[in-house]
Amino acid sequence: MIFSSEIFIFGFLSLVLLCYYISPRRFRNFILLFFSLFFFYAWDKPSYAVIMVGSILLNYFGAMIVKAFQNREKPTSAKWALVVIIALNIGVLGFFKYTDLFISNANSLFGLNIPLLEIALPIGISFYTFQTMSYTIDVYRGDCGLQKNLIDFAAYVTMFPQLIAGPIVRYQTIEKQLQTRKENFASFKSGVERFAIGLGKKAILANSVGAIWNEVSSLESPTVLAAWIGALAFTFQIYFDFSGYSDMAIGMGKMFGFEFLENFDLPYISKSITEFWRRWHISLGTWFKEYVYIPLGGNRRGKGRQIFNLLAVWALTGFWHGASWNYLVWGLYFGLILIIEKLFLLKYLQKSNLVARFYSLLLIVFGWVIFANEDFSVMIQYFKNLFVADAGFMNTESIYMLISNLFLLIVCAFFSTSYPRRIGAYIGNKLAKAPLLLEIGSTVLFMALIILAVAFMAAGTYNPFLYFRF
Amino acid sequence: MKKGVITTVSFILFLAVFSIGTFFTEQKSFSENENRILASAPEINLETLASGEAQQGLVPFASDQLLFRDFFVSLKTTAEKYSGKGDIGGAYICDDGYYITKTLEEDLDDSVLDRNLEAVNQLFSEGKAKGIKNMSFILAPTAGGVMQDKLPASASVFDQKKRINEAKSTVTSADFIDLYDSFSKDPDPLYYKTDHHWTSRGAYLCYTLFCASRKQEPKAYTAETFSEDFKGTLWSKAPYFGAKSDTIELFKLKNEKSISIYVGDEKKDFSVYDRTKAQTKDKYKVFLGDNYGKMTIKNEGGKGHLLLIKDSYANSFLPFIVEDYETITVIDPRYFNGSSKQIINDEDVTDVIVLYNVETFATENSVYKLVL
Repeated sequence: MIFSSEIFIFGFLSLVLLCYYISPRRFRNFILLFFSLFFFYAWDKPSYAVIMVGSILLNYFGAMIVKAFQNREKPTSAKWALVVIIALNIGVLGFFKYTDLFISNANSLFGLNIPLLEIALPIGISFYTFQTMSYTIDVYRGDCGLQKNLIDFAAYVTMFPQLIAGPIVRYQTIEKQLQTRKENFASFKSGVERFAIGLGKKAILANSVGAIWNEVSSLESPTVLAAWIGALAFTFQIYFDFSGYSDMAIGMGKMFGFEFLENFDLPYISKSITEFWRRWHISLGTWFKEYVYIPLGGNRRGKGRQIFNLLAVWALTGFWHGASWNYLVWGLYFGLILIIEKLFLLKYLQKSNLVARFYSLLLIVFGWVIFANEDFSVMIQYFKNLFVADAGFMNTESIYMLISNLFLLIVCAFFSTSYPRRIGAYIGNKLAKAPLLLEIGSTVLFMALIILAVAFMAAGTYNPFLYFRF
Repeated sequence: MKKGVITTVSFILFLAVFSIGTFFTEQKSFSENENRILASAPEINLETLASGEAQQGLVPFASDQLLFRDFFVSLKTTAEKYSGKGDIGGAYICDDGYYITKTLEEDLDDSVLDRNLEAVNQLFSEGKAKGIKNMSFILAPTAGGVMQDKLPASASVFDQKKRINEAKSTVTSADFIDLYDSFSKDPDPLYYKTDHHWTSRGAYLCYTLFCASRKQEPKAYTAETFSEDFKGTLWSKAPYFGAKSDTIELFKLKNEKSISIYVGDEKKDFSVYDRTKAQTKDKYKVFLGDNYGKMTIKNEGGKGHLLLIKDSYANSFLPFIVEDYETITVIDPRYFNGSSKQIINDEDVTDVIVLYNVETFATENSVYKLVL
């Protein structure tokens, strides 16, 4: 189910909240598990719930085996057990996600004719595989305790707010919360507000700019102006869609008493690509740093090794985003930029905020052009169109597109900056002495936002789900 | 009061109201405003759940049955209109409350126009061979053709004048009645603001030009107000708060009761004007009740047999000429699978009129049926 849909909000979420809060505390994790697995996960392809259950059991028992070996002072066996479990996790992910890519490449490289398996990707598999792996690895490292309660563990893995599109919640983040969280009005309120923001971002902003990108990308011969409008539209779409989804996840988590970590922190105000990757999809960056970069040695084995580590991490990061070579290119693109920045460019960027921001935005937008086009010839043509187009610099259609969407693009730009939160903080300060007025005011504001978002949902014909390849 | 209670309670109430209101109140089967059938609850059993069919059906069901759905659709449209969006739901949102259909040059395939012109030419040639002297071809411009000044900045529509001129030069076996220049002079009262049709005054202007081509005196325009609350097809797809309504006028016939309308063997219980449509949303249907494949109109006081080939524009044109003929055979090729050429051959037709708006004529795929 897409979060920004009537069936999800008025059907599923309403029902889960009801059942959750009428249940005694000790059943609440089970309620979450039940609804997450049977209603939410099994929604699109019920048979795939089996894979999810398999993944849960693999890591639940796997961690136990690892711990058992460690308790019996058999570190090598523990290490090998971990390796096998990781291999199995990645194997499952690899099989479902990348098999057809490798088959088709093998076919073209070796002139074979192996038919594609055409397996549908189990929804969220990239997210929950990484999530469950983090548990097993952390148990091995001693960074978290063993979870003996299967219900609690399964609840952690399947929890619907973050199951499909993240954030990738590490077990250690919510370990204690599984048993000791205390739902309360303040958290619930905070959750409602966060959910409202996320829903607004997705239904109002992302879907609207997404429609622009859809239109531009289907133009046979866009003008330079149209190409830039399209690139900008996609840049906003992916941010508001993805961060909106994370906001809704975090917000709904709070409604159930959970505190997840932030996943996006105004990435488009970054003054370098290094900074961008500390603000964009933070949970993924953290995962790769903790479980790939640092184990490979990070920056502690000399410059040459660091460069190799960075390239490896970025190749994997790119590739994680989709079973298509353009994602790998996208990852390496950033990897190279990061290396250059680390080696010397960062010092120069610090000299001018304006230049630094312009540089970052330009490279980010170019990155999205690589990301958005799986077909390399289309991608290259698109890059050409950004500078010189067959259709010329602009025409009536592209000028119309600009004028018609100018306000929307400005609103998107505004909500990509820190101004909204500064304004919020200012008002909060001014009304600090009148908490009742503040709460009534903020309730009205956020409920109005939800109502406007529901309006865009109800009438909208364009409500894409961007995470089907994850 | 504890922090967060007001927000929490408000949100829960909101969820409660809308989940009950959407799923547990009486289901609606048809949306008058959106002019479409609304999704109903899917079959839910083990089979449909396992295959995912039930789930897939629940998504549009929840969306279509959403409590206050019409309000939400209007809210979105209003927000988009005021944000400067030039077109919503396939129509440009223009000055003075006008909606103009967004049909661009690239939406047109000129081979369709050529095919249609050929079919019409053939039909008229058939009539000429049978000795029918009164034959007229009328291609009406739509609002998009003559009210470009009302369009939003840089908005474009396809070139109607070009296509009308092409039709004029291609179809030579009948009288081509060119409306373009007359309609361009003062187009405001000639078209509905919220609908893609012309008003009765627009149809009347066409009638006067038709009379001129036949060297006849046009009747004077006297009309009754049928509705001041008409919101048409273009509004349906982009309803915003505060949209202006249209007025529908009905031309006063000398003796409405002496006209009988037959669809097949069924005699309709109205003649020319179906006034029961005043209670419905699609009020333009007052003209002839609907679009039928073949309709026969009989009037004892008239003379001659007119064959009228049309789209829905002609529905509001017909009242001006309906009392002149004894029989009118009205054909809408979209719904009629027979051959109009056959009708000319088999029946005693004295007049032929082909009346379309240029937008439909340039895109419609059913015109070839005329000469089957």
